Amino acid sequence: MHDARDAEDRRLLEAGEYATLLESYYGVIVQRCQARTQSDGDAFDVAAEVVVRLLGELKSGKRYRVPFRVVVHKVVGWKLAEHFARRPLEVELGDEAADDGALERFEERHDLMMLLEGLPQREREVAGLRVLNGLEPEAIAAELGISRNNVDQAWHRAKQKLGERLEAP
Amino acid sequence: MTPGPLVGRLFDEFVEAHVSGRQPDVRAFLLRADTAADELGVLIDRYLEVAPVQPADEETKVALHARLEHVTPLVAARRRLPLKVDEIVERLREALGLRGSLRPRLRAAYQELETGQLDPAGVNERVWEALHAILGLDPCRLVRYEPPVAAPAFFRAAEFEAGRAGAVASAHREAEPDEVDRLFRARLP
Repeated sequence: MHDARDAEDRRLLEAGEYATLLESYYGVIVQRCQARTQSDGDAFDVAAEVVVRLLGELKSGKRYRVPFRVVVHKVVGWKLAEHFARRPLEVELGDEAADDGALERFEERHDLMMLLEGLPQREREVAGLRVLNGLEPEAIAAELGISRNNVDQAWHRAKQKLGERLEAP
Repeated sequence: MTPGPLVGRLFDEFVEAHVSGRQPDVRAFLLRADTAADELGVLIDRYLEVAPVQPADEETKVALHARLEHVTPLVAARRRLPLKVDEIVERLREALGLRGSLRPRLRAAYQELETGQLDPAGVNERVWEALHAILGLDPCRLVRYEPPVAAPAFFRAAEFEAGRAGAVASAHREAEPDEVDRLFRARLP
């Protein structure tokens, strides 16, 4: 059922056509996020996190041993788990992730840490606590001793810069 | 656990629409499920995880790029042509047959729509049809990819002159509704 799709995905991966590859999955990513979060705002945020994550990995040269569609759905599942658990990914996923070594590899924290490198200190701190530790903005504000508004601004700037970085050739 | 009859029926309908190549709106299905939305959402999610992925249409592609560029899908669709706000407003005015004096009001209304500040449910079918013809994309589907409340970044990215447009709109709302109101704000109190 998925053979043709997997073959096309492999072709796009080999050709480096990452945007085209992700375009083809964006619809289902959004739909799954809508189905589970029941909130459009949250759904689009989670979907964006999935896309940014996948794009970052692809552009950094990451290759997978499993079909790309499996990777996409795993990342959607993880991001949704993060969304609901509000805590670090590895705590939430448990046995499911531990059973899948090939997929577990691209969930390594250093990938995210690499992405955060080079951000200004405040933005790196906020993004790190948000992405790596799964803290909510209020908790980050308390942790860093700054206002919620400052957290939101730093998080927004960090996301923009990460997006630009991932878009850069 | 066996799904209730409503959830089962809606799920079957969703799957049927999906396998037939249509783009079922998850939000609409969840709304119809009412208090059983969570249950239906889990079923849809599990189905989508294993279902064949439908080829992406242009609206989906535009929506993705909009998200990456921190603009609304309607802004991304306009820029893709590329058209400036004034240009699309002028085309819209011509398509809707509005007189020139209504141009500033039309511009304000269009920018509210483009930046997600206007309830799409209050927008007349003629506006959607005109936008469809101008953009070459289904604007209703683009709006479907938009959170109900636009992020502040959208305003900056769209160079939305909120103050000016807001002043035009609010000053007018004190007067009698005109053609622009009837076309864009059918749901205004």
